[in-house]
Amino acid sequence: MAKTATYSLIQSYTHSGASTTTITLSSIPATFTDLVVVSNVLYSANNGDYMSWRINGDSSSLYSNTPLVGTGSVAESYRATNDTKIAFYGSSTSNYVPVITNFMDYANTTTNKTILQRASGAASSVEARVGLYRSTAAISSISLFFAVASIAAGTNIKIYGIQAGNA
Amino acid sequence: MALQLYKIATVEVGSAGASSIAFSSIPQGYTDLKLVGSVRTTNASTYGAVDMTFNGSSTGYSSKNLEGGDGAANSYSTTGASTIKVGYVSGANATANAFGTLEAYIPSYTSSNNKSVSVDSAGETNATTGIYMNLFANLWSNTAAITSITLSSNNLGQYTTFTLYGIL
Repeated sequence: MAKTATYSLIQSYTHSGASTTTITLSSIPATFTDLVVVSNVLYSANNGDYMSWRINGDSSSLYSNTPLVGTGSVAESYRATNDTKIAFYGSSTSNYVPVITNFMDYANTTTNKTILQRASGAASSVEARVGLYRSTAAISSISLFFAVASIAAGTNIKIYGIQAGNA
Repeated sequence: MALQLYKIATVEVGSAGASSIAFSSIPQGYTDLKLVGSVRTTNASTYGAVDMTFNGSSTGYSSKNLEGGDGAANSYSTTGASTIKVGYVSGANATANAFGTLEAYIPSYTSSNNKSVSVDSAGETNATTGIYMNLFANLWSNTAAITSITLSSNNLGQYTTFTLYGIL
């Protein structure tokens, strides 16, 4: 039996450098079982801003998350509840930060959506995070944004679809 | 749709052990690299460190980590280092046949930017202390495309394997 591809690139976006605070990858097909979003993010003009994520363009208070954080001197964890986004406070204006996020069973319309995320800011912090989006809607778009800072050229986001396949 | 994860090469350490192994002439046609290791060192402890360098360079490495082990969580930072750590895995005094694991993700390895590396690693053994899991945020402050990767330890034990994947 022919093997079925299980790890497929759905979309890839590399920012050209035009001034924007938000990148949205939309029209995500509902045909996979899980998503892996691989991003490598840089922003300009540090003013205390930080990287955040939203699902389906939803800015209501439906997000919560718990990170484990290593600052380079302290290991810590905290909670964010009834938030309007999932934020990573370790963004960087000097070097690209890899952020890898797993969205499990993203297309179902029965359960809320849980994510697992790893972010690696060598100049800021290293984090592992669990996040919850309290919506049963299928995930059809994912946005990366900053409050005011511009996303720098070369920032890249790729969405891979994972599908159970025959061995 | 086509599979987007391609194996470039696998290296297995033989019975003599090895102080280092290298992936050289890495193809430049992928967007990202992923390295997966199953690793045991001969360090005279329950654990042993594994280091990574790129392109034979011994400068420009920095890191932050988040570590769990010995009943506590800690975080450390290094700058101006000659290598980056990619794991504290099983050592010679670990449970027999226990191997640590590590996974490193290197996005945009051919870009002209500095290279960020995300690493998760763990060792496990049936001991109360001296075994660790780590998350690393590593950086090589060099704009050259990555063409080779070297992994080293005071000695890598037999059956240690590293596999390098290219991702499109």
